[in-house]
Amino acid sequence: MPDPHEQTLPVLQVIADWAGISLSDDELAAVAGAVENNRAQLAALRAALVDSEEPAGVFNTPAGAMDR
Amino acid sequence: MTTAELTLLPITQLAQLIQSHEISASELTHAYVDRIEAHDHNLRSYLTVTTDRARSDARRADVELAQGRSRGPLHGIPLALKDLFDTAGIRTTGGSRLFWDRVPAQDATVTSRLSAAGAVLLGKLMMHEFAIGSPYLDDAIPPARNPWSIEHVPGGSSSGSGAAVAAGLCGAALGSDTGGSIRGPAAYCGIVGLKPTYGLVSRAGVLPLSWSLDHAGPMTRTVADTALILQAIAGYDPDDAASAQVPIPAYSRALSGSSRGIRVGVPRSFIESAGGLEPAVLAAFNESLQTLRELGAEMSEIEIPGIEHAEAIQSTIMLAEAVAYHEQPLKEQKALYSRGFLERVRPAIFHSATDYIHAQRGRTMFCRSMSEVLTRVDVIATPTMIRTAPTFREEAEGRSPLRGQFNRVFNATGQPSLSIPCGFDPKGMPIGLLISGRAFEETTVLRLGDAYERATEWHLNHPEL
Repeated sequence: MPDPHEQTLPVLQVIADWAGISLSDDELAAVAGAVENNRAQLAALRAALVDSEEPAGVFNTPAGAMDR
Repeated sequence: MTTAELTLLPITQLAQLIQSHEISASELTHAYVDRIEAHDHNLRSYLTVTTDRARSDARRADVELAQGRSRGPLHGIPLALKDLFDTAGIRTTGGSRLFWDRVPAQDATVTSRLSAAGAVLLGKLMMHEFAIGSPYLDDAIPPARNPWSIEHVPGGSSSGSGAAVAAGLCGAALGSDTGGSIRGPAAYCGIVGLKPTYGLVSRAGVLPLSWSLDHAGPMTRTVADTALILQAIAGYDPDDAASAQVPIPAYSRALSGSSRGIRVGVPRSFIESAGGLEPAVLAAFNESLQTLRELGAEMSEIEIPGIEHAEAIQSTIMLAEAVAYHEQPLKEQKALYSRGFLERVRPAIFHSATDYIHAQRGRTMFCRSMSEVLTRVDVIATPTMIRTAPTFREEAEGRSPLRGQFNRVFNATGQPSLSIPCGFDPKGMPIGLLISGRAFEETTVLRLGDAYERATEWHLNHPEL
């Protein structure tokens, strides 16, 4: 099994196959740049997160934008 | 008054003409249908024109008014809907061949509410497929065009809504906004677009793109028109799992014409660090801030911690939820999707569950950060887009950079966010100013937008068809 953190074309092919979505080599190559960009953005976001931050916090933001 | 002048009037004025019996709903509807027939073959803003339904709605409105019964300011006003709002018995396609023959049995809640308010349904408007992607001129479903220049895109995904409102092919429209799909077309087409607070306007019967980021809202020619439409569609709906139970204020009453005392925060470093920010957009934005200052708004520069991650948060959540919704057809009916849809959505196939969870964690963090900023200012001002509308050729060649990052911030947080016209570039393409406020404080956002609109004349410019 290839390392899923290395976004090479063969890895992308495995992930797409696993998801049940068939992509041609050209389609995979076309999507690779966007996938790499998303990875970089998410890596920066993860680095900014603190341990106490959890998804359910969205239901309890003090006077927050998502308040009801 | 010519047909063009009539059909380009704000609905506040059309309502006065109808209520005073200077024009009937049927005459007004006839004028819009004529204008659609005359011009929409170039603009392609409509997917379906519901002429018979419109005439029937208008006759009903006229009969009721003759009996002394008015349903309010939208009585007899011809409106149109982005083609993802369900309409009972009328095809609702989501702009996709996948749903080409889909005819809902029930109206969306907002469709029903507009109908109950007396509006006339002119038809269903073009959109990017399932509210995402980029248009190509050779798409199987030809895209809407910008009425200011048909070589340019009208923006998306509420492309037909933006084009039709700007061109006077309807009195106003509804759009949906998951990452700027109301406000982007509003800016590109020179009209007003409001993304209300998440939960204020029902999404029941609206085809989803991303459940936790989707918003429905008005697209109009003036801020006062937006207030009228919002009044009709806002409010709790038990059929929408995210619908908020909050008091609904009288939005039009908030439009005092004064912006005195409203504290406006400008995230200057965020704005000016945006790659591809066009000088004409920045100049128009700075000029609009000067106007707001002269109107009595209190300006200050702000920093919003975490805003640099808003794009990753919004994009990851939106695309993951979109792929979840489309999971089966992406496997089984891929050939029916457009190139633009697939190009946009495919990268999300490679998102992991942990990516999505980290994005939700980031969203919580960012909402808290935004809440803190909004204790010091009442609204946040940015340009709506970093540039004016690109041409279809630029879109096809991929030369058009990321340009909706100012909008997306407010989908991640769910705050109300209003785009209003604030200028034109040297090519004559419109520019938008974005005003975003605290959750459920649409009144402040609309009040400031209305004060700016009254002090300027950008909204009085209309494209020559």
